[in-house]
Amino acid sequence: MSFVDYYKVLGVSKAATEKEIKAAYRKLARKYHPDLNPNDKEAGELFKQVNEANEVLSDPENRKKYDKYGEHWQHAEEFEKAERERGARGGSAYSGGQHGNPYGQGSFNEEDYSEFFSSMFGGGAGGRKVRYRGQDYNAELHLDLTDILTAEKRTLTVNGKNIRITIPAGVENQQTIKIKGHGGEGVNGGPKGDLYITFVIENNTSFKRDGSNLYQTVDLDLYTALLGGEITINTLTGKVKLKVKPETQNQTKVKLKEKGLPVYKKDGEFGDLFITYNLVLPKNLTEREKELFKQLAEMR
Amino acid sequence: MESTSLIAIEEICSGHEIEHTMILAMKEFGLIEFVKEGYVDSASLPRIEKIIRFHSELEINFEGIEVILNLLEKMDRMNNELIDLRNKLDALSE
Repeated sequence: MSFVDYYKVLGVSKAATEKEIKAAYRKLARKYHPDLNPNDKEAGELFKQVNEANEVLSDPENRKKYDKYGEHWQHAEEFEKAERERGARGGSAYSGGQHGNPYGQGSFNEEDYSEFFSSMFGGGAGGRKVRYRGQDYNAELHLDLTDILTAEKRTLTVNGKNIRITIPAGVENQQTIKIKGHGGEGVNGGPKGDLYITFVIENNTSFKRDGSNLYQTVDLDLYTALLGGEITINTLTGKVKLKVKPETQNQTKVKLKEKGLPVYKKDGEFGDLFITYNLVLPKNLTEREKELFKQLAEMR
Repeated sequence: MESTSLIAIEEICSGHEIEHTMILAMKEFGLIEFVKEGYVDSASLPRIEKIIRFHSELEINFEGIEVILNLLEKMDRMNNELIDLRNKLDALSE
C-alpha cells in the first residue's frame, strides 16, 4: 500500500482553492473519462485516480485529514488517539500503546478506490455522494476461423461470473463487441460498467481472409489447363467440383459465389471464395514425352 | 418485418434521476430522436446514457457533446478500418 499524492494526481498545489481543485478535476475527468477512451485501460486507471483525488480534496473534512497526516497516514488513527488521550489526561499516549496496523479491520473493499484511499477514508468519501459508472472490463476470446461459420452461443467466465453470449457469425479478427452492464459495479449507486470482448480469430485453414471473402491458390496440371476438365477443391463447407475451361492460363482467378464466410450481421449473406490457379508443369519427362512436346512446339 | 422496441422517456428519467426537460432538450438539440411522442428506440439508449454521463459527470454542454459524439463515431470508424487493414496486411505477409 503506497502513499498517493492526490495534489500531484490533480496537478494542483497544496494551497489550491476549492475552485482550482474542481477545475483541475473537471479537466482531467474530461480527458480520461471511460466514455471518451473506450478500451483504454490506462485511461480507465487514471480516471479512477482522478476521481479518488477529487473525492478527498473536494471535501473539506477529508482534505483536512489528508493534509494533516499526509504520507504518515498509516499512523493517523494513532495520532488522533494520542491527541484525545493527551487532552483527557495530559499524559503520553504511547506509553504501552499498541502499534499494530490501525486499519487492519477495515471492511471496505471498493475496487474503484486505491488501498490507500480505502484505509484512510473508508472506500467512499463520507458526505459527498457522486455517482459514477463502474469500470469497464476487457476480455479476449480466441476462436478458430471455422468457429465463426455460424452464430454460436458460448459461456464465458469474467471476474467469476458466467456470461452467456452469442458469437456473431463472420465476426472480424480484433473486432470488439460491448456487452452492456457486465462491467464493474458503479460507485455510490452509479450504473455498472460494460464488458468489452475482443475476438482474436486464428486462421486454422489454408484460406486467406479479407472480410467475408476467402482466397486460395490451387495447383492445376498442364493437361487440365490446356484441355479443360474438372477438379475438386475444398471450401469451408466441404468439397466442390469445379469446371476448368480449356486453355486456362496460369494465375487465372475464378470466383465461387457465396462460398466465403458469412457476412457479419447480415443473415443469410456470404462472401465469395476466389481461387487462383497455379499452373504446375510436368517434371522428369520421358524421351517419348520430350519428342511429343518437340512436335507440338514445331506446330506453333 | 423489422420491429422496434420502444422505451418511454419517463422510464429513462426515473432510472437516471434526471428531469424530463433534459431529454426534451436533447431532442430539441438534435442529439436524439423520438420514434413517437414520448418514446425512443431502445437501440438509442446507450447513446442517451452516454449523453447523460457527459452532461452530469463532466458538465459538458450539448454543443460539446455533439462534437464529442461525432468524433467518437469517426474514431470508431477509423479503428474498424485500421483493424481491417491490419488483417489484410497479416494475410499478405502469411
